[in-house]
Amino acid sequence: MKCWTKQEMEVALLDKDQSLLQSHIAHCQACRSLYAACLAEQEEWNQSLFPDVLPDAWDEKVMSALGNITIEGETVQEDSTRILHSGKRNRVLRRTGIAAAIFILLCGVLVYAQPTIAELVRSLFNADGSADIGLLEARKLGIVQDPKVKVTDQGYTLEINEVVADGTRIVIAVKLTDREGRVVRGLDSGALDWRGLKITDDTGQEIAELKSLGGAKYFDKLTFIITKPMASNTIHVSGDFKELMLNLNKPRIQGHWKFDFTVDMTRANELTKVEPLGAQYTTPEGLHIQMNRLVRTPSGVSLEITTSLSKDAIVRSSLDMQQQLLLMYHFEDEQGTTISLVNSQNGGLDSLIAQYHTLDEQTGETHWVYTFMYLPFDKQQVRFVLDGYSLPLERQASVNFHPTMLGAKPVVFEDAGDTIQLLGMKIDKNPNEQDGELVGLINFAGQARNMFYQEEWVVQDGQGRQYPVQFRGGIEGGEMKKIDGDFIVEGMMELPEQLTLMRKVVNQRFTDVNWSFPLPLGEPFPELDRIDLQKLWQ
Amino acid sequence: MSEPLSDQAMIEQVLQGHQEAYAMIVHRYKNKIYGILRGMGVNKEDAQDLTQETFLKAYRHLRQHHEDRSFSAWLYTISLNVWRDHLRKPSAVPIDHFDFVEPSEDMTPESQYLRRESQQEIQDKLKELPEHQRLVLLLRYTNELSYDEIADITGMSPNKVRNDLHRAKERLSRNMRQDEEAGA
Repeated sequence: MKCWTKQEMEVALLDKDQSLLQSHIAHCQACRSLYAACLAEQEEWNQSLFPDVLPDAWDEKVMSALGNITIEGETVQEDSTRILHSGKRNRVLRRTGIAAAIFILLCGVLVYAQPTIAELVRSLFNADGSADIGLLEARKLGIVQDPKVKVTDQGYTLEINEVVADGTRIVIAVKLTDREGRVVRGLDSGALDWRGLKITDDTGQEIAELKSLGGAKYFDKLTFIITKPMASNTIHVSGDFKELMLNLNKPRIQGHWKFDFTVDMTRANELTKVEPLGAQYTTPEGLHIQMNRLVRTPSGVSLEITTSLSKDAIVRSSLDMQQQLLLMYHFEDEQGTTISLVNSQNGGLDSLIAQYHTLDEQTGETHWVYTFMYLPFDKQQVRFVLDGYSLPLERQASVNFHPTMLGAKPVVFEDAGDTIQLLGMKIDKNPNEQDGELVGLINFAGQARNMFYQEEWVVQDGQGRQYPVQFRGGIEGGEMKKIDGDFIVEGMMELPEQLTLMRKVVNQRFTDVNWSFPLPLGEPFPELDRIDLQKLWQ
Repeated sequence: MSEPLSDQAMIEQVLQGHQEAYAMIVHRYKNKIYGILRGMGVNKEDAQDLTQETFLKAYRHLRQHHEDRSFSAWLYTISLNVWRDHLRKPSAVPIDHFDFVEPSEDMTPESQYLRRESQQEIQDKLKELPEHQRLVLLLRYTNELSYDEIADITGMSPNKVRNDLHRAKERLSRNMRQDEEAGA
């Protein structure tokens, strides 16, 4: 798995579920250092922005003011001892003293009485937001299996009691508990490196990739996406873990948690329905799109598409660049209401679980599989609408400037519908690294109609030496994206008299498309005719 | 050694009639809420009043909080509504306020002074940021909210939150650096 950038790390720090991050840093020294640096920076900002501390006596004031207030919807109980007013400080303090004693007692009781794993109902299907519509439908269709895995070592027990598997995805609920029966997961667990879990068919071929780690309060939810066709009605899941990481600051626990089980896919495969698609379209710039088929499985829907570029388009886009092609489309119902957006520039409405593609270098065709947790083409008329696509293309655009004069006289770079104003340049430490080396920093702001990432920029000095350029900054969503930040010029230790900024690859966004078609109305599962999500959750 | 109670556990205690459990919620969030209000330009006295009002409002409507939602996001939303209402009113009358910062035992009077100086400088610079950037920065460094939650609270898109945060940090750092250079 590739290392995390500082920006990715900063976003991940705010996620409630940090299991992917923790799982990675448990095994990567570089990212562990970056993680520690990000935490330190976060703490510094917190200290600077929240410097004031309200004294404990202030809490008493609030608590005494509560005496006259009832919680709405609550039956009011008369309690004369609750009448406390500000000004009667002694009474307030006395009461707070009693209250504090009660807290300690309550905490003690709650911790002592914390239920063990056996006492708690934990399931993929609890109404805690961990299950999506596809998983709930899969349960209704009876494809949830219990492999009865339970393996204990060093006092830590790993259990697997729920697996949903079909041709779309494989979802496994894993519970890990310590010797007291307390659940181990989340930020402080790090736990196991789930990338070590293998899913194969009867021939031993790995058929799935770990897509995400999630879950609810009491278990980890591992979602694998099927990436290769299965050659059998049985799949094999195996894990062999030799260390457990509970906390970054504590030594890892050495042990052995090994298991393997099989999942019978017969019923899931029987329920799977395939709808062939024949629609095709070629965009004005030569991208051919061939719709292949829709595959409805109990837990979701896969859409398979093949794309290829015309000869003219291929000239400007290498195989590596073609790998970055991104299709943008959406689905809408009969009323024209959008059901799901894919790769939209405006975000939102995302029922897409995964998209992956393979480029056949011989034919130049790219095969795409989009996996949705919900695409109701078997319940209502659904229309596919193409919104556009983006593709990196070779480019030759440049602008000359005097670095020391930019502050006084900004320079404008215009290309392919993007406008960037270069506002200043200096030599400073690389802001992407802790104690970074000296680099050139070109400050800029502007607007882009193209993607502005996965592009290639360089600067060239008067002697013809070229320096690679990295972008660091913000890109807003929307048709015209507001962009600003710095171009980081690596290897530049002092400001030359003159420079040329060159864009060698533009990740161009094409929107001059005009294509939509109705998906064939699929045959619904009779069991799901009258699905009541509330009941399913219960 | 007992682990700190979760927000939800504390809320359940309060809803079961243990009003005193609410003190733990007050204690956990008061400085963050007060800090957000101060950062948004509210004076000390009003910020104390509005922080108290936030807790009273949250208490009154505690049953409306859904356990599958983040309690901190819910509480910060209330505090911002209280703040917005406050902006529409004529100035409030302060009652019974406290003076702080609460000194730490291991800080000398000199280091307390220096700390106050540097914090005051940041607070002053914070005021130079546009309001939406200031708000995003403050919410982000409560260290409790995801970008999506900040987006929900502020009514911005997650992308705008990300960009405002980036711009706010850049601008604040730049202004502080410029001041340092000018002072050097």
